[in-house]
Amino acid sequence: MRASETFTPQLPSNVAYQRAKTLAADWLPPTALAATAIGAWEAAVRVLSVPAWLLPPPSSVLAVTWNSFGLLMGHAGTTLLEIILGFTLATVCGVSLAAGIASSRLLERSIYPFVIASQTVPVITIAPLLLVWVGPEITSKVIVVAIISFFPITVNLVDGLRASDREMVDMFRTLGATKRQVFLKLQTPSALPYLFSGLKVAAVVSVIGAVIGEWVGAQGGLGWLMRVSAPQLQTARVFAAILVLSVLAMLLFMAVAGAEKWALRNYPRSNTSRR
Amino acid sequence: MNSQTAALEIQNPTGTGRPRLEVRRVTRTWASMSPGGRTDVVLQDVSLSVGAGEFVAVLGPSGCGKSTLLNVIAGLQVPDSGEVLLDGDPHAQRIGRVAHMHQRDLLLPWRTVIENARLGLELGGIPVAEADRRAREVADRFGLSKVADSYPWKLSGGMRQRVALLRATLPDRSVLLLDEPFGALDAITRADLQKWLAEVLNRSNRAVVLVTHDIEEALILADRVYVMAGPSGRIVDEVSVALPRPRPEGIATSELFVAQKRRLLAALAGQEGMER
Repeated sequence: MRASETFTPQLPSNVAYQRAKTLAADWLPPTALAATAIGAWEAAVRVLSVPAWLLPPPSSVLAVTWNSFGLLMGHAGTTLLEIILGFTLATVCGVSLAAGIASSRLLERSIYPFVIASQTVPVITIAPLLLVWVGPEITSKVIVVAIISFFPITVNLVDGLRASDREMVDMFRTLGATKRQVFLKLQTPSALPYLFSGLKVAAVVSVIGAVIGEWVGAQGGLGWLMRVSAPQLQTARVFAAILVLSVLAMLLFMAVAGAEKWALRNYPRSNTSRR
Repeated sequence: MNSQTAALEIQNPTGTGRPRLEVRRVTRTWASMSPGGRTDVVLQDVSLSVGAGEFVAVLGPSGCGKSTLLNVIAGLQVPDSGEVLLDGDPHAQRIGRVAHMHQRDLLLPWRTVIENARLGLELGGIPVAEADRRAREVADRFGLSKVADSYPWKLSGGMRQRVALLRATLPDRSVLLLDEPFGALDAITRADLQKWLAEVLNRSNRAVVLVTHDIEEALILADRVYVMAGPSGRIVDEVSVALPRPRPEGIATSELFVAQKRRLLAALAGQEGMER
C-alpha cells in the first residue's frame, strides 16, 4: 500500500485532470456562445432602451420564469402528456409501417408514397380540421404529435431494415433460416441504430407538433400559454414558455439518447451514432 | 443433356461407393453489364465429385468463377444447365443442408462469440440453452473458450474466422464449403489456421470443398486439387495430392511438395490445361 502510494502519487490527479479537460472541451464552447449571445441581448436591450413588450431582456425572462414557475410547470405538464402519448402512438404506428413496408413489395408500392405525401401537407393545415373532428381536448394534440413524429421513425427504420448485407442474408439462408428468422435475427437487430436515429429526430419534432396543436385550439399547454400571452403583450412570458419548451425538448432527446446507449451497449461503436 | 452425363460421370476416387457431393456439367451465365446484352459465362461445364471424408480444393485465379461454383453447390444460385447431387440425389434440397463459410467472417456484431457460433443451431429450431451448451462444448477444441463471451469486434481476424468456422460446422452437415476462408489474413496467421483447420477437420467424415487462389494452401489442406481457369470458369486439370497425412512439419519445402507445386503452377499457366 505504502509503496504504491509513493510510487504513483501523480496518477489519480492526472486522470482527473484529463477528465476535466475533456469535460471542459465538451461544455465550454456552447456555454461561452450562449453567454455571449445572452450578454449581447441584455446589453442591446438596455443601451437602446427597447420596450419590454417588444423585446424583454433575458434578465426579465428569467424573472418571469422564476415568478410564474408554477403556472409554467402546470402547462408544461399538459404539453408533456400530449407529447408522450403522441410519441408512443407514433412509435407504434411508425415501427409497424416500416416493418410492413420493408417486408412486402406490395405494401411498399402502395403505402410508402402516401407516407411521404403525408409530410408534404403542412401540419398547421390539418390541425384545425382535427379540432373540428375530435374536439378541443387532448386527442387532437396527440394526433398532431403522432402525424409529425411517425415520419422520421418510419423512414429511418425502412432504411435500416433494407440495409442488411446481401452476403449476411445468404449466410443465414445457408444455415437454413426462414424469411421470418432473417427478419427477426438479422434485419431487426441491424436496423436498431437506424431506429434510434429516427426516434431522436421524432422526440424533438414531437415538441413542435404539440405546440402547433395547442396553438390552433386547446384548453392549456405551453403553446396555448404563448398564444394567449402574446396579444396581452406579455412578451417575457412568451419567452419563458419558449425556454421551458427548449428544456423539455432537450430532456426528451436525452432520454431517447440514453435509451439508445443502453439498447446498443453491445454494438461496436462505428455501428452507432455514439462518439 | 442428361443422357450424356452418365457417360461422363466421374468415378469416386476414394472408392467408397456413391460420392457425397457431385457436380455434373454445371454451366452458369450472367447477363453482362456491358452494352450489347451479351451474356458472360461464369461456369462452363464444371464437373467434380467429393467423397465422404475427402478434402478437395478448387484452385484458380481471382474472378474465375470459384465463388459462383460454391454458391451453386450451396443452392443459393441456380445453374443454367447441369446438376448438383447430394448423396446421389439430384433433387435434394441443398439450402440448409450444406455448410458454407465465406472469406468475410460475417459475424453479427451484437452477438457474443458463443451467440454467433450457436446461430445455425438456433435457426434449426434447437432451444437456445441446448444450442449454447453444444457451442460451448466445441468452442474449447476451437481454442475459443477464453473469448466465448466476448464480442467479435474485439477479436483478431484469425479468431473471428475460427468463430465463423465453428458456426458453419456446428449444425451437422455432410458437405462443408470453404470460400477462401483465410484470404483476408496475414501470412503467419494463415499458416497457423491452415494447420489448425487440418486438425479440426481430420476426424470428420464430411466432404469438404475449399476454394482458393493459394497453391500452397491447396496442397497443405487437400487430398485432391481441381485447377480452374478463368474467365469462363472451366476445370482444366485434376491433381491427386501425394503427401502424407497429417502433413509433417516443414512439408512446404520438401522436394515432393515443390514438384506438385510446379505441376499446379504449370496447370494454372495453361500448359497442361488441355489434357483432360
